[in-house]
Amino acid sequence: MKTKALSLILTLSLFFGGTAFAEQWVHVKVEGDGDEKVTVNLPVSLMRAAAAMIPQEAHDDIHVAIDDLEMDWNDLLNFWEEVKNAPEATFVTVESKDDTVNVRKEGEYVTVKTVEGSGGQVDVKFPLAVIDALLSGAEGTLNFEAALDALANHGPGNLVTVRDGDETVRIWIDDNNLAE
Amino acid sequence: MRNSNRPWKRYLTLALVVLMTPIFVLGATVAATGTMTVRVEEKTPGGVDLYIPLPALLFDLAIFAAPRFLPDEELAEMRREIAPFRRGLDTFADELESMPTGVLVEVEDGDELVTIRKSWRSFHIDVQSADTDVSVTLPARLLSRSLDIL
Repeated sequence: MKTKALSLILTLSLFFGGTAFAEQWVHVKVEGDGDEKVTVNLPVSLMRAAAAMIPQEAHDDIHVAIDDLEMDWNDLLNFWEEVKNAPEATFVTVESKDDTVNVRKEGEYVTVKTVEGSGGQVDVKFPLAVIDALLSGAEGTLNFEAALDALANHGPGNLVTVRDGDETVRIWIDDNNLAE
Repeated sequence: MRNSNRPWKRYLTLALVVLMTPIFVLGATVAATGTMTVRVEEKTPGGVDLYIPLPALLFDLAIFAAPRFLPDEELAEMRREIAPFRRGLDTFADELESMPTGVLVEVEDGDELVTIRKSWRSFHIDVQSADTDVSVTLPARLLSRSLDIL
């Protein structure tokens, strides 16, 4: 009887634990000079629901942005496929008087590091699976819902870090409903 | 002696049941549907200290009655406008209602602190400043109930 009760409790706790605590949260923390501080914590499920409401005009703008790169949708997909299957490497390095931009593939991530002459620094680290999901929609549309699912499945980690003088911006994902 | 008291006790019990039942039902309904509250507290001497609690049930009644008072053309126009987003809005409203407890937004700037948090079935918006504190509590199902009339 005790064993049955224990296994029932274990099963229930695994079931509810699995559903209640698996929720991933995206955190944005902006700290300015002085006392300014902004923290936003959003569950991925809520962001996913919001993504479903992105108006068609926004998708059209994405189409225009791709056109501006003088690429069509298939070129973009082919380029991404090559990046995905390529070994770890630096794909783009842009060095100018003011900035250095570095785009690399590192393991299962694409990283973009920007160092500005003024001392500002931007680090972006995106899982390949998220970009893959983002490009999985119909032609010319970014599949934000699939990208958010992929982000949630990928687990905790830093996504964006910006440092500019006394100001810092950090975006990360974890299963905690409070920012650190 | 005991027998003569019985009818009196029976009537009293019946009267109490009749009187208390609606109060219990109303209390249970208010507890189940939650409350909306507004609190404004000025920290200056003699400043405003206001607390308004409203049963969310009143909001439900207003939502129930709204279609009877709004002109049909206006309702139809509203339905047409939100039609492209309707499915997304429904999902978003459900998600707002069922999302886990947590602090959603916190803005701190010197003496001012603005917090938006979800706590069980409510959203709490708190604004704290050097001279005034404002707190508003809203039921999490506010959006989904509002969409129901459309």
